[in-house]
Amino acid sequence: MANQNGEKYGFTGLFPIATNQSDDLRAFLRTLDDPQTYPRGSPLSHVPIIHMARMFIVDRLAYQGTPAKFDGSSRTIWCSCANSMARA
Amino acid sequence: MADRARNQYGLGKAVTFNVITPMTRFGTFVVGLLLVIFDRFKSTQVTAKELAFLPFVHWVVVKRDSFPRVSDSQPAEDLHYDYLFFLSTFNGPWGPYIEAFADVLYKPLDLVWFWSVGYPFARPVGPLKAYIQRNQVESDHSYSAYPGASVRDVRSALELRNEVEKLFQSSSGLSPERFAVEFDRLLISVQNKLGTFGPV
Repeated sequence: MANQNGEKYGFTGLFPIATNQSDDLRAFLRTLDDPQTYPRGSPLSHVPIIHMARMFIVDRLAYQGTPAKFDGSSRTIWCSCANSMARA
Repeated sequence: MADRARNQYGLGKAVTFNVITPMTRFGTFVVGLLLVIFDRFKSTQVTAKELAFLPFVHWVVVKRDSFPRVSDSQPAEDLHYDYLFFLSTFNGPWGPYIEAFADVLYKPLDLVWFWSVGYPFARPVGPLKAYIQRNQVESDHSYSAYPGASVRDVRSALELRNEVEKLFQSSSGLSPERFAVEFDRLLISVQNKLGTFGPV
């Protein structure tokens, strides 16, 4: 299984974001490492099997320049991605 | 600096790195095959494991018709390409990280990223850095269970634990004076394994 390496499992998830909600979501995500609220750096610290994780929002896909084709439009805002390693 | 894990003591040593690059359908087929080979034959991962600044690397292919929608009312994506997600966590600065990849892992990098539109090859490293900057997405939240520990710190800690366990097993019955001698011998032998665990 390509998601697994030894005892560790690599999870990648794509989640669609409702229209016009990505700015609010991004602002919220950036508060998650507040040490006052989460001394260990993240609410994910409460899940003991997670080694590492990241979340990011893809607003647009980069245009590679001519002759490549342009993908997506400004109104197309579609996913955040979480990736973690955990003991399988 | 949301791309760097942290805790109440400060910023950690782990930096998340996300690059999304477009591929044609044929490129997706080839890359899928290559990743199966890399996964099946673990010897292909040896060089990456020997890089002491790389806790985590993950390649994911997302086909153009696999991007999810909130509901049927949200317009479906109409994309020209499939996308390759390169997700990694590294220790140290961004520039030297890319340079080390280009220097040590240029063959697998070129093999996989060759099929991404616009990829300039790993060498020279200047165009590669520009390509990565164009396609890199900064993390909005990063977490590490041990943000103060680099790969070197973890490996050193594991070796240190082994040495301490050996001393524990061999020291029963020793006099206090003899134990002190053996402990000093251990301490001298593990000087290079006492890492600086903590915030950057």
